[in-house]
Amino acid sequence: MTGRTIRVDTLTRVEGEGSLYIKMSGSRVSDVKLRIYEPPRFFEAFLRGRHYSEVPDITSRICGICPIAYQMSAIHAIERALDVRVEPAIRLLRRLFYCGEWIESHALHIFMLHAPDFLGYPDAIAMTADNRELVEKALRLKKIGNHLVTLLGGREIHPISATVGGFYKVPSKSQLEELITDLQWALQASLEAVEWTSKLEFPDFEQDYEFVALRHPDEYPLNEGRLVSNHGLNIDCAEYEDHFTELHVKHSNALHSIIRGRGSYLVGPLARFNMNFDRLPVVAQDSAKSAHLSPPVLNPFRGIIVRAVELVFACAEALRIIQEYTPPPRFVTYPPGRA
Amino acid sequence: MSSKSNSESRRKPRIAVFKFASCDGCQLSLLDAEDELLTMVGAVEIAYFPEASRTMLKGPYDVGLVEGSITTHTDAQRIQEVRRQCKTLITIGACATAGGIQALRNWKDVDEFIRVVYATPQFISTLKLSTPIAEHVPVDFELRGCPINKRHLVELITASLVGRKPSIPTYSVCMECKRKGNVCIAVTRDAACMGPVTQAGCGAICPSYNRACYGCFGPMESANSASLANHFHYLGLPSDVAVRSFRGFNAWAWQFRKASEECERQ
Repeated sequence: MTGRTIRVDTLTRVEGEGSLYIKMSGSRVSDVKLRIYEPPRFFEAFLRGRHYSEVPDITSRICGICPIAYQMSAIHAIERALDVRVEPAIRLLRRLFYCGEWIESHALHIFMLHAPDFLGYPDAIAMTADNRELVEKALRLKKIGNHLVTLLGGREIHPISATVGGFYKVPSKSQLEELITDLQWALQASLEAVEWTSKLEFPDFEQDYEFVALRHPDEYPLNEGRLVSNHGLNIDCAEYEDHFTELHVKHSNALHSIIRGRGSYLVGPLARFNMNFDRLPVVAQDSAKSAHLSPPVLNPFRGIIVRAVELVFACAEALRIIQEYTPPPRFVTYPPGRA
Repeated sequence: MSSKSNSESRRKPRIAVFKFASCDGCQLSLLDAEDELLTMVGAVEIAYFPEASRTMLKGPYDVGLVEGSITTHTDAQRIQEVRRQCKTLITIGACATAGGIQALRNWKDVDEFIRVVYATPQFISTLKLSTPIAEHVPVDFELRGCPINKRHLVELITASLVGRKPSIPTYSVCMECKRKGNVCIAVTRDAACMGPVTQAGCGAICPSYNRACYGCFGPMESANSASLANHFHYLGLPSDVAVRSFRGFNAWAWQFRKASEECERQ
């Protein structure tokens, strides 16, 4: 008997609910099933008939860990549909808002969800037995990200301030400047996180992925850009459905997305980093180099270092934005045809 | 004192966190309590919390925190087992206490919903209604909010561990708004502010950010939703605005449900 089956009934330390099934014949993987058994909630269906201004508040509830990504995606889609152009300062604030989410979410991911796997602990709490300082630092980093989100959005989970056309309320320059000391500490802690993660042990595993990410003419992508890949994709986001197919498979409640004619692809920090290394600020590029990371990184296990590099980016970008920020003359630009 | 009861008294209370249909935000609040987390886990044993740990100890548990609503046959059975395993069962958030945003299906044809979202509807198994935990099993405490306030969660865990009543407000958002010195949105603007019928706990953030409360903490104790619906009417707001205001993240909470259905009939 050469076959072997690996079955994980509950994937832990991830957002959402899933199980994993891997079938092997000899040393070859013959079948993999990632089963997302999270019950369907039908957002696409009940969003019909809601007012456009309610949509970002609703889509936020798709995920409590990354609500900003969902509310901002809805906002961008609606602004595009209604031809709304926002004030430059609003655009900056949105990037800052995203930076806050990246700082809290990346810190959570790196230290509390992912690191225990490398160090052999069941969770970050157990990790405190031998690494209390590390966990405390992670919590402080996470708290700084959450603080930024709360200042801009009112609260850390399902923030309430972002809306189509802008924000219901924007912070003053001095309110943002109060965050500088913390963010400088966070930048330093992120640089240390890159160094720390780069010393973990990684399995020797590389694959020829198709990396799909946003790409902007002069920024590391947070909220806009073209959709590009290392296999030649370069499209406007509105053309998504011409190039991607979403499939419904029997074993999972999450749809599978493939690139037409090529199949599966990889998104997230690794893809963003590989497609946009040249758009990272120097401090993030240098930290990557010192961790011996250069694009393309093809080992997904090293994604934890890449995530730490993005943490450096998010802190540096937040500091840059705060420096540059002047409050906009108006908070919300309404769609044409509305008073 | 026997050595057994001595070790019993030293045993840390066991906490478990369960997820049903939800966004994970309420259980994340536990990890978002950055200042309290390490102290809290020093006082309790986190026995089951798959989002945070791969250690999944079997019950029984002293305190079970339940996030999410019941939307499938499997979950309707699972909540019975969860209840049997938990000495104290606390629901956290709007999904678990009021069915959540996914309860919007309760006024619609769920089969049509399935067809809209999924290419192969026969792969999907779901119930016609999204219902709160208390419609299935007795619940010891319902913590409101979409998401919950993490300070409430810390207070609730502390209170249930020492066996006292938790100090969680049951009055309306208006009280918090007044304390903050906000200009009243319900009175001064033609906006459907849900503050007067919504339970406090968020810190009146929406009115503090220039917008009407959208009721994410659900109905306050003895909420007069009919009166607020009248006020919306008096402001000249169309009835569909009123319906949608009550039909948000706590749509299936009976006070809001009743109000939205009455507005719909008008």
